[in-house]
Amino acid sequence: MEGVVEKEASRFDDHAFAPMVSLEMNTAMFKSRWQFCDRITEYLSDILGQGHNDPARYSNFLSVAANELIELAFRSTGELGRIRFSLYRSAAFNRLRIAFPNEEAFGRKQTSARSGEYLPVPDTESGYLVMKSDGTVLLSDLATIFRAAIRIEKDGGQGIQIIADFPSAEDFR
Amino acid sequence: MNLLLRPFTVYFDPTNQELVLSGKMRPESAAEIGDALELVQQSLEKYGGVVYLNVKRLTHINMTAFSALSDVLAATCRARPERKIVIITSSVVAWSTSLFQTLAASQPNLSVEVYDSAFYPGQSFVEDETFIPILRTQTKMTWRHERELLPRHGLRNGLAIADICCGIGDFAALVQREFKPARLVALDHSVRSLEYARRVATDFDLQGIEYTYGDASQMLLRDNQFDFVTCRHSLQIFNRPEMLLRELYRICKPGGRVYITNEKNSHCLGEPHADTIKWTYEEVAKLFSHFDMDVEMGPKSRHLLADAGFDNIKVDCFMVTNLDGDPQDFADVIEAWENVYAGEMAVRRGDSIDFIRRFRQGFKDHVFAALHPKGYAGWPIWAASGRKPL
Repeated sequence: MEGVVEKEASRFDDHAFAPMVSLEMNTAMFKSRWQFCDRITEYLSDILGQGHNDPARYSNFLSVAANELIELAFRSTGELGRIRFSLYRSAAFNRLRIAFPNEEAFGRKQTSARSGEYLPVPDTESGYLVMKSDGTVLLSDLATIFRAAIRIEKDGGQGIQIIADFPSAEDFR
Repeated sequence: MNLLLRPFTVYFDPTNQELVLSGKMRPESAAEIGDALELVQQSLEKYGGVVYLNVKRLTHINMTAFSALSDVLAATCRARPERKIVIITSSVVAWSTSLFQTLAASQPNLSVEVYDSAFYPGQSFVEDETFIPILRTQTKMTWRHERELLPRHGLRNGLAIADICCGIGDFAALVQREFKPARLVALDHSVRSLEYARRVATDFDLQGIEYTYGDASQMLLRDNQFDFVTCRHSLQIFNRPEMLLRELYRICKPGGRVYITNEKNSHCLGEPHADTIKWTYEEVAKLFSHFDMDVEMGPKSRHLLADAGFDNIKVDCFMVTNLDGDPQDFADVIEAWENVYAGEMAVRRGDSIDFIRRFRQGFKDHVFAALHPKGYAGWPIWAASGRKPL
């Protein structure tokens, strides 16, 4: 299964991503407690920090962005099915992928936020609203702050995946 | 007013017109942090001029909290365009400045300042690179004693260890070599010291030490992670040691131990010239006190650890002397102290030339005692540890 996921991940760019860890749970269980978002975030960002020059700081740095995406998944997924959180690493990037079922699925084109690019703000009906419409905070702001590429895409018929690539050579400047 | 809404804290300090947010803010809805937002709003409404929003120790925030906070700040900025709000971020928390700048960009009367100065009152005095050889010599002299004491305080091979306020990392390097920890994190708030520590570790082929830039009073390290937490010679130069001890307690595993060392400077001694030496070191204690540091802390260690919630407290006292190795090492350390204490701190306090001359004499006599063939010079240190209850 990991191999399949990794193969899919490799489609998005030229980097060869190696799987690091994958965590899967029942969505009903995940949605039973908001605090799971924080717990999973800290677990995953601890792992992402490993190998960095300053693990504690890098882990904290990524945790803010990762948490936002995990909270987005929390708000977006239904009660049925399973949600999977996976980490990958390439020579230059760390990747977080969150795949989860969504009965409504995306009724529109794929959404992406890369530093400096325009981000279509998800509408309220789809349940993806996490950003304020007055422009105070957008997903693109997060992408800029974390120098990350963030994509939200369809994953099969009724699934969604959120993919975020973070530069592993972050020097905090 | 202090609202303790775990795991974060919000309070307003009217003296400095400062709103202080710290900890982790990850609510599911804005309503969850309604009390905190109300305090922010009320404080901004009540006080004019400049109000500071201190987020230096806000380690995590989600966009739900950030957006709600932004709404309150933006509404205030619009309603009172004459007022200024200055957000103080920390260079330690790497995302903080960029995130809050997104808010400042849309509000002309709101600005962001990065707090990057000393976290401890005395830090600026010892971060000069010329001080590094002295710090190394000090560690060399204390290590002879601590190497023997540390196992009594619970240090053994294979533990997860954190050395908080690690400075130039020489103690961490010694622990890494001698006690082969499973994990060793070394934290300090001096970028230059950490660069030096990394360089030394590379030169000596010491692998596995995780150096991290951080604020000891609000660390980015998680709860209950370490079997053994050390904090040497640092509580005494921190103006709020209880705050730092709370953090040491937090990151220590239940059943693990926190080990601290501190001095009692007025008990530095020497023969000959005992009187002048005694006078000078009593003045050292007063001088540090002037800068909100307590270099008399050593014997208070038991009290401090007990108040912080530790049990099974152990306290040792050892005397570093001119008979430990080369007496010149001892003399070098005293000369460095003279340069910093008399040459910088006393000058900054505004002491008279006569006072400084007398003050210096005690150090010179201490050096004389150290190098005298029949002399004796001592520097007492208290090593204490406490167990975090299971």
